[in-house]
Amino acid sequence: MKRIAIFVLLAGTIAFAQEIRMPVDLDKLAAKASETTEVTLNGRTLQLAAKFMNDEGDEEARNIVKKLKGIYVRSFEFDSPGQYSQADIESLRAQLKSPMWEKVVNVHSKRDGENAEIYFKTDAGDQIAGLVVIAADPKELTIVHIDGPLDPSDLDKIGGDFGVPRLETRPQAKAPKAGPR
Amino acid sequence: MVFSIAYRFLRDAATAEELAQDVFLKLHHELPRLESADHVKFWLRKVITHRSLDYARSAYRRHAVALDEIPEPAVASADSDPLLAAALRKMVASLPHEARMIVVLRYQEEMEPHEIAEMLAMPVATVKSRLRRTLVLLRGKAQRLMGETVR
Amino acid sequence: MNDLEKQLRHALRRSDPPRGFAERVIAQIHQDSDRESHRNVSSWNWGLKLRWAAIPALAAVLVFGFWFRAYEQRQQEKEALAAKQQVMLALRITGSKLRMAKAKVKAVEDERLKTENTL
Repeated sequence: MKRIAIFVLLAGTIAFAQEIRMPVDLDKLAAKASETTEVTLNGRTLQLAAKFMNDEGDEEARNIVKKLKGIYVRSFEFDSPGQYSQADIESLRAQLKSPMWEKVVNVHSKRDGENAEIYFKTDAGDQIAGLVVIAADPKELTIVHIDGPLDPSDLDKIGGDFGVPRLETRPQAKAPKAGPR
Repeated sequence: MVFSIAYRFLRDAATAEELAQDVFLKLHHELPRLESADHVKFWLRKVITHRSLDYARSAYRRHAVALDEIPEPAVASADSDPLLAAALRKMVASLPHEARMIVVLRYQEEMEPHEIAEMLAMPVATVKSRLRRTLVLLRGKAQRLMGETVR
Repeated sequence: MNDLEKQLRHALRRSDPPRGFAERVIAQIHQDSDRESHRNVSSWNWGLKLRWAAIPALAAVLVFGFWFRAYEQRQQEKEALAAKQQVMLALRITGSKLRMAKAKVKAVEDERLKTENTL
């Protein structure tokens, strides 16, 4: 299968923010992946991007991004299961055991092998100061680290998929039954 | 850019012009070999940086001309202090050659430490530590001079 | 960037060369090229031809000293637009994973409720 690697490394560094460091093992996964997405945006680049986020629909993203210190994404897709192991992300999980980080979601699905962990970092004022998402399924591993303050409403907006209409969360009103024929 | 690097470094307008002229003359000869605008810019910065350093280090020195002879841009930034700016320029001029050039490349040209390291052929760690020590020094001097806290 | 660094950026902002600088440089280049052409009068020297051809470009660089600034501005815009695309990509990826996690949590919760209702 053709290998497609998409490296978008804009900040010139593969280190996460000060506390979180990208495990070296993850770079080895790129060699095995059929598709790799890598985004590294430090504070300076984010500020620059925010200045140019003036199109219609950019406002929400801009308001979130301009506060952030960094956004880091590593995503690997593999042709077959078993190309990575939990050990590859253990050193990342070990960093998230520090008191500043709290695991708020930990879901493991045996049925489809999809797992998700979400960690929040909180500051002295108990506000969210960082987010790590580890999403793993047999053929895909994604790690996202957002460094910087996030409101819960920001997370709603991020979860709403920028650029794509949000799915309705309230149940749709049922269509009236057809009248007698 | 070319004149400005030499000028901010040497604090001597006449010498800065002379060096800048030499560099452009040399560019004229080199231009066919330079591949892109980026390459030209990099080349110009590198040559003027090294020419300025060489000049400063050489035994032959001209008498420095007072900075006041060159007018600063007319529009002052609303959030800057012209007295502090003038004081800082003098302090930077008193720094040792390499530290001074590092400061000029960092704050005038907004080059990153790794770019400065490449330009000056020195380790990145050295650039960063010199920058750090220089900022500490400048902060202290500025505070003593201005009698106020400079963060 | 802290206050001192901002002040340094302001204090060390680029200074324009004295009036007439560009004209003096171009004059110097013409002189230099004239000397070259006298030395190589018999041959059509491609190197010299290139240098002559480069004079207008060099003149443009000198006379329009802001060319680099405009170029830098354009480069910065390009960099910013590329960064914006990456920001949106990163946020979309994050969003999709957050939604996946939310769906999983909901599925677990629904299963738990179903079990409780059955009991």
